[in-house]
Amino acid sequence: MRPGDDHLSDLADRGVRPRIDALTARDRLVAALTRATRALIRASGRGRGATLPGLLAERWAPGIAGRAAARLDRVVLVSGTNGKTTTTAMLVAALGSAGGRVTTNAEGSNLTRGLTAALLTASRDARDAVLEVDEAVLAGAVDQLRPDLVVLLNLSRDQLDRHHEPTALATRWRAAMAALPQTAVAVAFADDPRTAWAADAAPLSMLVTMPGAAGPRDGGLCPRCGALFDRPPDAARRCPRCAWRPDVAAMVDVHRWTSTIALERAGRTYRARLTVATDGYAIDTALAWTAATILGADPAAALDAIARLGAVQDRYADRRWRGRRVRLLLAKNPAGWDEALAAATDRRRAAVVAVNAGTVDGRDTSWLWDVDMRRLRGRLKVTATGARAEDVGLRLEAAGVDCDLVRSLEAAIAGTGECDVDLFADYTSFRSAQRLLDHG
Amino acid sequence: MADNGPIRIGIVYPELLGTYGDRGNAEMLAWRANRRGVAAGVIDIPAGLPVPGRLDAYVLGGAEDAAQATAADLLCSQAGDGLRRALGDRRPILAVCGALQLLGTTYRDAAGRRIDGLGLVDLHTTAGTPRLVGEVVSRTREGELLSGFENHSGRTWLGRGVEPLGTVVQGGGNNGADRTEGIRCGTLLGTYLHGPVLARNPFLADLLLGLVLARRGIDPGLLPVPGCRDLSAELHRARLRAVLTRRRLRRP
Repeated sequence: MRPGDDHLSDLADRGVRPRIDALTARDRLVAALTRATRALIRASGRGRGATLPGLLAERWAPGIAGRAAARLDRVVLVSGTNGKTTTTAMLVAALGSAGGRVTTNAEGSNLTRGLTAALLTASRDARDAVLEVDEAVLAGAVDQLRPDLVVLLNLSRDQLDRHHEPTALATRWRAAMAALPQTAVAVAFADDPRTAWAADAAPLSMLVTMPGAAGPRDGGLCPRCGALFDRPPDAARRCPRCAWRPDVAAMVDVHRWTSTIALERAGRTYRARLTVATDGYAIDTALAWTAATILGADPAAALDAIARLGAVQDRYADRRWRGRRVRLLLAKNPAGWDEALAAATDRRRAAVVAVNAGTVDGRDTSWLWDVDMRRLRGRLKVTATGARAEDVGLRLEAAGVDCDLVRSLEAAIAGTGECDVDLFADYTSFRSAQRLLDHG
Repeated sequence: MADNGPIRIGIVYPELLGTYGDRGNAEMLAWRANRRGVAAGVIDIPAGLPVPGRLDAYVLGGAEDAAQATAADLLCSQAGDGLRRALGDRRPILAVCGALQLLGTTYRDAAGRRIDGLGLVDLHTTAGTPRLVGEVVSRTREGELLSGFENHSGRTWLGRGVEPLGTVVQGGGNNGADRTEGIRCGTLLGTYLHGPVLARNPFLADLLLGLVLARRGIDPGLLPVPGCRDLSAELHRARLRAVLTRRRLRRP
C-alpha cells in the first residue's frame, strides 16, 4: 500500500455506491406512521420520540432501516466506548461545512431502534447520514445499513454487566469490519490496539495516532493472541509473541499543546484551537476530521467547523445555575473519568460525584475503584450523590478525599454554597442534571 | 519470624487480573488496617514478574478469557512460585471471579479450550449459559450476610470437602445450581462477588485482616476502634436493603 496522500486520494476515488430507492409501499406507509408517532410524542411532551417510533417501524416493516439507508448517498457509523455523541456531532459539523445535508441521531438514541428512527424521520433533502452506534450493536448495524465509512473511537471497560468486555467486543467489531462493503473505509484510533485490530479487517482503513500520549486503558494485551505487550501503547509497537501491529501505511498524527492541536498528514499540517483541552477530545477531533476529508470535505474548512463546535449535548458545558457555574462532565467509566479529570483541573471548584448505576449505566459500581480519585484531593468541597452515594463515598474516602453524602442531586449541588461546581456524573445522573439545570 | 514494617498487600498482575475494579480489595484492606492504627500499603506486582513470596496478603481479580489464559501461563511457571510458597506459609490470599477459577484445577472456556489452573484448591470450572449477572447475597458459616455483584459465565464446582465461603440467599453463586458461593480454604478465600467485595463487606475485610494480623502476632481485639463513621458498614447495609427489600430473610 502506498503511504500518505496517495492512499487518501485512492480513498476519495474509490467510487460512490449508487443510491437505491428500495422502499416498498408498505415501507412508505410505515415511515409516515413513524414520523407521525414521533410528532405525537414530541407534542405530548413525553419525550423526544427518538426510540419508540423506530421500535414500532422495525416491528411493522422488518429491514426498513436498511432500505431507508440505501436511498442516501452515504451512511457513516461512529462507535466506541467514549466520545460517540461528540465525534458524531463533529463529523456532522464538518460535513455541513461542505454544504451537505446530513441526518443524525443527535439525541444519542444509539441502539438499532434509534438508528431506524433517525433514518425514517430524516428530512427529504438529506443526502448523508452520520449515526452514533452503541458498541455492542455495531455489527448488526453494519450488516443492516451497509455503511460507507465507520469510525472506531476506542474500546475500554464500560457497563460490564451488559457483556461489554472490551476484548470480546473487539472480536465482534473485527468480524463486522470484515463484512463491510468493498468500497467502505474504517477510520480508527491506532494507539488503542483493539480498535486498530478491528480496523485491520476492513477493506480500506485510515488510522489516527497521538505520539507520546499516555495511551488507552486496558490496552496492555495483544488483541490477536492475548500476549502482553512489552512496551506502552503506541501505533508502532509489535506484539512480542505473534508480531501483530496496526497497518501504519496511512496515518494521521495528532499533536496537542493545551487547547491547540496540529493534525499532520502526508507532510501537511492543519492547526486548530479546541474548546476542550484533553487528549481524548483531540483524538476525537482528528478522527472526525479524517473521516470528513475522506468523504470529500475541504480539510481546512472541516477542521474549522469542528473547532467552532460548542458543547455537544451539554458535555463539558459550563452552565449557570442559581448563582454559580456548574460544569457538566459525563464520567461513566474509568477512561471517561480520565478525560473528565483532565478537563476539570480548577481545585477552587467544588466537586460533586453522582452515580446512580441504573440499568443503562451498568449496575456494577466496582469500576469506581479503577478511577484515580486522589486527583480530587484539595478541592474546597467534595460531595457524593446519587442512588449509589455510599459506593462513591467509600471510594473517595479510601482515596483520602473527605466527602459529604447527599442523596439528592439538587441538594448536593445547592449544598456547595457560592462555589462553582464540577459535576462528575454517570449517564442517568447526567440526564437528571440536565433537567435540573434546564428548569433553573 | 517477626516483621515490624508496614503491612504489605500485593495485587497480583493487575493488568491481567483486574477487569472489575479488583484493585479496590487491596485498597480496602489497607484502609481498614490504617483505620485501626496499623500502617499498611498496597504493592502492584506487574504481570510477568515473579510474585514475591513474603507479602502479608495477596489479592487477585477477574479477567476476560484471553487475559486469564495469559495469567494462568505466567502463574503456572516459576513466576508463580512465590504465590504457592505464600499459601504454604498460610499467608492470606483473596481470589475473585476469574482468579477463583484460575486457582482451581482446570477451566474450560466458551470456545472449549482447556486452561490448566494452578491447582491450589480442588475445584473446576466450565463456561456455561446463561451468564450469571446480578446482585448476590450469601450467608457465611458465622451467619453473616455477604453482598456483591456477580458477572460470570463460568460454572464452578467444588471438590469433595471444599468449604464454600457462603450459601446463596439470592443470585447464582458458584454455578447457579448447588447454592454454594466461593471457597474458604484455610487462608485462601475465593468468591465471585465484585463490588469490590471487601468494600461492600467489612466482615470479610476484617476476617482477612485478622488473618494478616495474626501472622504478625497482633491481636485485633487490642487495636483502637476508630470513632468516625464506617462507610463500608453503611454501604453494606445500603446494598442489603436495596437487594432484599421484597424478600423476607429466612434464618438459617
